[in-house]
Amino acid sequence: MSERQCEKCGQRSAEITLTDVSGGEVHEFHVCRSCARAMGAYPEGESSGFNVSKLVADIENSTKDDQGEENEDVVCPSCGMPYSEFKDTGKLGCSSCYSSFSNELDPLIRRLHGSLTHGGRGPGESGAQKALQLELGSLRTQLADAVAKEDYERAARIRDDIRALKESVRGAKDSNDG
Amino acid sequence: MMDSLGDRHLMISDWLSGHGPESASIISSRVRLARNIEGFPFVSRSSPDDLEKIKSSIQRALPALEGMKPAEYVDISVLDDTNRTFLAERHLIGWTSARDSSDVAVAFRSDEGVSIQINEEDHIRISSIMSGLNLWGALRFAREVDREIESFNTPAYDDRLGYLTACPTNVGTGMRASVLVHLPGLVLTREIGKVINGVSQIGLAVRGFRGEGSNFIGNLFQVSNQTTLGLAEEEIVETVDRIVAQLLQYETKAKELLIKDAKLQIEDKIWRALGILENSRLLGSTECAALSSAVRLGVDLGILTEEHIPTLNKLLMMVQPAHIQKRTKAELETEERDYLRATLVRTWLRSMK
Repeated sequence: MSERQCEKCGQRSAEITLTDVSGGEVHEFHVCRSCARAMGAYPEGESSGFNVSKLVADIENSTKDDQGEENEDVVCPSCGMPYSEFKDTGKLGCSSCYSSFSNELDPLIRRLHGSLTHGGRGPGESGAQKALQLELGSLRTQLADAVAKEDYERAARIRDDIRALKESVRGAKDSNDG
Repeated sequence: MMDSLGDRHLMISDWLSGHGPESASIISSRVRLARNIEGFPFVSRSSPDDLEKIKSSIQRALPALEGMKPAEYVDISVLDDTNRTFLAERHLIGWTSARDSSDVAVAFRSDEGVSIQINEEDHIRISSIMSGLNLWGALRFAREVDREIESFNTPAYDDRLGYLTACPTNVGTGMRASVLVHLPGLVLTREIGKVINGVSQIGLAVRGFRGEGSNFIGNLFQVSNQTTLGLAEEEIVETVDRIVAQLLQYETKAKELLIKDAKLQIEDKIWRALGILENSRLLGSTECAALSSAVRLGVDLGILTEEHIPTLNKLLMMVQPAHIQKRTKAELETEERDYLRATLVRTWLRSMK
């Protein structure tokens, strides 16, 4: 039997058949694992958004030299979990695992997120001001859109939302040191 | 303990009210924040005793959480299979928790707009779901509860990596922003594969209605961010917002094409779907989802009135197997469920007239 190619990427071999029932019609896609995941369906046993274990293995293969001997298993001193367990389950044991395994984890995290630095708010920071300003901006765009489409009922609703939001901005300023 | 959830199976969650922005195409918007409590190992390595402590610490804080009022609290361990499935059908717990895991509990605001999942993959997962396209609103509500919980429990947080989560896929903001969108035009014109491919290439995920690992049913797609580290929460919301707006543009184009090339066939499909929903005596859940999608398309094209939207949303939630099972004492066979489903759908659609 000749190997069927993935209908999405046309590169890898199609290991999975996805059945999509929509509008009373059945479509079948023959795709590879990676495209199946991208389409939102995961092969049996892969519970997460994608397969962390596989990514760990990929990264290890790409960094290991050809003679690469077995690395000794690192253990997190805080919770006692060996790194090999993470490779199997994709789940860390405790918050200290991030520093205990940082040599192994950092490349993985960079691969996952394209960054190693948190860019959002932290505990105790409100972050509310920025969000409210941005939300106001988004509502104003929606308002312009509604007016352009002459949907005045919607425009009135959005205008009320903007008013309510401005009130809460004022409220937040009063009760916050900023 | 069958009655701990009362008559909730007869009510619709507020996020399915159909009153939010862009409700014809966009069912709901959700923001989820994953958090862990400092001083406890993550869930998979916590002792039963630790997990019990985590549950009770949230339960104790609950009355003080303004963003959760009025709050309900349900411990999964006291529920039977039907009630666990019921909570998963309402998106209040994950499907994995519905199947096993007795250490899970869920607290939710009575209208189900905000909820806290306890001891699932992470100690705490705060979710806010809004009707229609409203990620900003969802972010606001989730954040409010997040801040309130932080004043009771110190979160596992690192200055460099941000919020620390059990799986590194969620580290940083711990945030997943997702929008549930109906794209029948792109499916009918067979453009959907290409579109999904494009969306995943720019780092967003596309999933089915029931979330991770689910099939695409009823032409419903959940679009969400994959990246949780390096961006601010607002930037993530902006990105998902922007992509969803683009998806809606493609969808509109696809619909225009359908109307141009196959107006009569599309109209026929819509009216037939409505006819079956209004008259059938046996209705399976997959068939029901497919027919509802066609009727929703009819609303979107202006063939049917917007009054159908709340009823269609009701069909998304309230005719799922556990919801139907809870209406009766006897254990139902599939065919009996299909009969009950058909009866409910007929009644709801007729009461609109």
